[in-house]
Amino acid sequence: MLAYLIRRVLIAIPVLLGILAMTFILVHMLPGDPATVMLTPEELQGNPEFLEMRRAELGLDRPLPVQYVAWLGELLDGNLGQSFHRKVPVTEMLGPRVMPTVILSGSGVLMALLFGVPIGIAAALRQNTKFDYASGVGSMLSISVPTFFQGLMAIYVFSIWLGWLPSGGMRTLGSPETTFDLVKHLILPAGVLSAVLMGPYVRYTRQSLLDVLRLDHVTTARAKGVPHMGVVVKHAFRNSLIPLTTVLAVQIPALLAGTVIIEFVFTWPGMGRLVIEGINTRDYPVILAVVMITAVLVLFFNFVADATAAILDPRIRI
Amino acid sequence: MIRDNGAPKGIDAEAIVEAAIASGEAAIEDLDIDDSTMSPPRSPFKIAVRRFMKHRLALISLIFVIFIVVVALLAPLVAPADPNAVDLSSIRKPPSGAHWLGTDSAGRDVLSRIIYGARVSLTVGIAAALSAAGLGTFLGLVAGFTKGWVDMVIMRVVDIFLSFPSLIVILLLVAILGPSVITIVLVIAFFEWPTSCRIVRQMTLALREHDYVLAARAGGSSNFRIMRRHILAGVVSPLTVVTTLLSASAILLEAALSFLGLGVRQPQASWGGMLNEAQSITVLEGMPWLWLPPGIAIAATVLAINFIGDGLRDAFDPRQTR
Repeated sequence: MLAYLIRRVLIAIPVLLGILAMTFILVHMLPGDPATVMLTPEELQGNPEFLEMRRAELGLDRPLPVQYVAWLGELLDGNLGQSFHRKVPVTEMLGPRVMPTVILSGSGVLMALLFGVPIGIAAALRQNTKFDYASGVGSMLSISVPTFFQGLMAIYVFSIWLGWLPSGGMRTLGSPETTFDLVKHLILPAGVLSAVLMGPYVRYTRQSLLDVLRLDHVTTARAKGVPHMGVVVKHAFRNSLIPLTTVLAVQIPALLAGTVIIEFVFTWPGMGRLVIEGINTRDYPVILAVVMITAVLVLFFNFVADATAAILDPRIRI
Repeated sequence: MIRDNGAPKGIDAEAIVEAAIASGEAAIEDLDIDDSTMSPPRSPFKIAVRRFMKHRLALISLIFVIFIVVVALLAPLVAPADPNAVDLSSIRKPPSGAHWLGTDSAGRDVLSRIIYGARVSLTVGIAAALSAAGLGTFLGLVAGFTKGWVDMVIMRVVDIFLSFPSLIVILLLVAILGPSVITIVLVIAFFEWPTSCRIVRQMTLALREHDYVLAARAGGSSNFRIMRRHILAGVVSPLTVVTTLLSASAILLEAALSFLGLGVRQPQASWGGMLNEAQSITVLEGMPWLWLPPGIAIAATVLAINFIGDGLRDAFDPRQTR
C-alpha cells in the first residue's frame, strides 16, 4: 500500500514540474514583459537605458533556466505575480473570488452526484427499458447542448417567463445579505452546472455497475441465494463506486470550463469571471495563476482518487 | 488499472479500448468457424456496418450530419441572402416571408448566417479532430511500440496536458495568437491530442503481443512496416470512435470561444458568435429568433455526432448481439 502511494507521488513530481514549466513558457509567450508593463508611456519615451535598468532590476536579463528557478522560488513564497491591468498582486485579486466559485462549483457537483448516481444505478438495474433509454438520451443531451445555451434557456424559462428566480448576480443590491437571498441567486447557475456534469456521472455509474454485475463474485452471491437487492447493495454497488472517484477527479477541468461559462452567463462574481475579464483586459498573469492553480488541483485530486481507489480495491495496490 | 482521465466529456476511453480488443479477438475466432455454416461470409468490417445500420438513432444522426455538410458546402446556392449584407432599414425584424428566421441587429438575414455558420463549425470540428487524432496516433504508436523511457516521457507529457483546464488555456492562446479559424483549429488540436494518444498506446501495447506480430517480425518485417501494416490496422476502429467524439467536443469548444467573443471575428458568421450578440435581456426576452436557431443548430449537430460515435462504438463491440 505504502509502496504504491510512494510510486504515485514519484510519478506526480515530474508532472508537477512539467505543469509549472509549461505555465512559465506561456508567461514568456505573452506580449510585453513586466518591465515594459510597469513603466508609464512617458517613462518609456526616449529612455531605452531606463527600460534596461528596470529589466536588470527584475532579473529579466538572466538566462531562462535561471529565471525559471527564481520564479519557482517566488511561487514557494506564495507570490503569483503582479496584475498588468490593476497593478496589484494577483493573490489580492484572486482572494475575494475564491469563495463564490467554491460555493457555485461545490453545490453544482453535489447536485449532479445526488441525482446522477441514483439515475445511473436505476438505469443499470433496468437495462434496456424505457427508463434506461430515456436516461441515455438525457445524458447525451447534457453532454451535447452547449453550456451557455443551457444557461440562456434556463434564464429564459425561469427568470423571464416564469419570473421565479433572478437571472444573474450573487446578491440583490441594497438588500441585507441573507442566506435565503444567496440561495435564490444560486439555484439557477448551480442547477445548470449540475445539468452539464450529470450526463457523464449517469453514464459512468451505469456502465460501472453493469460491468460489476457481470463479475464472478456477484454470480456466486446470486447462486448462494442472496436476494436481488442484497446482491446489488452489498456486492455490486460498493465496487462500482471505485471508478466514480476517478471520474470526479478527472472531471475537474470540465467542471472549471463549465464554471467559467456559467459565471459569465449569470454574472457570478467568481474566478471564472475574473478569467474572462483578464482576457478582455489582456491581464495575463491573473489567467495564468488560475490555470496553474487548477492544474495543480487536478494533479492533487488525481492522487487522492488513486489513493482512495487503492484503499477501496486491494487489487490496485500491487 | 487503466485510467482515462481527461477524456472529453462522454468519451469512455476504457470501454473503447476493451471493445476494440475484444473485436480483434472475435474476428480471429470467426476465422476458425467452418465457412460452410455461414452465408454470406462476414468480415469484421461488414459486421460492423450491419450493426451500425441497426442502430436507428445513429443512422438518423448520420443522415442529419450528411445533410448539414451538404448545406454547408452548397451555402452560396442554398442561402436566401448574402450573410453579411447589412440592411439598416430592417433591423431585428421577426421571421417573415422575406426573412424566414428574421434579421439581426445589423439587418442581416439570420437563416443565411446560420447556413454560413455551419461552415465554420464543421471546418473546426473536422480539422481539429483529424489533427488531434493524427498527432495522438503518432505519439501513441511510438510510446506503445518502443516502451521504456520514451513511453514514460510521452505518457508524463500526456499527464501534464490533461491536468490543464483546456478551455482557459485555449482562450488564452487564441487571444495571444489572434483569433482566426486556423489558430482555433491548431490550438484545439494542440490541447486535445492526449485522449487519442492514450487509446492508441493501450491498443498498441495489447496488439504487439499477438502472435501475428511475432510472425511478421520473424519474417523480417521492419519496425516501421509492423507499425504501419499490423498495429495501425488494429487501431483503426477505436480511433474512428475517438475522432468522431473529438470533433463533437471541438465544435463545442469553438462555439464557446465565439460565444465569449474570443473566437471567429465579426462579421464572419459563426453559431457561437450569433449567440454572443444575444446576451442582453431584451434580446433574450423579446427576440427568440436571434438566439434559439443558432443554439439549436449547435446542439443538434453535436448531439448527432455524439450519437454516431456511440453507434460506431457499439458496432465495433462484439459483445453486443449481432
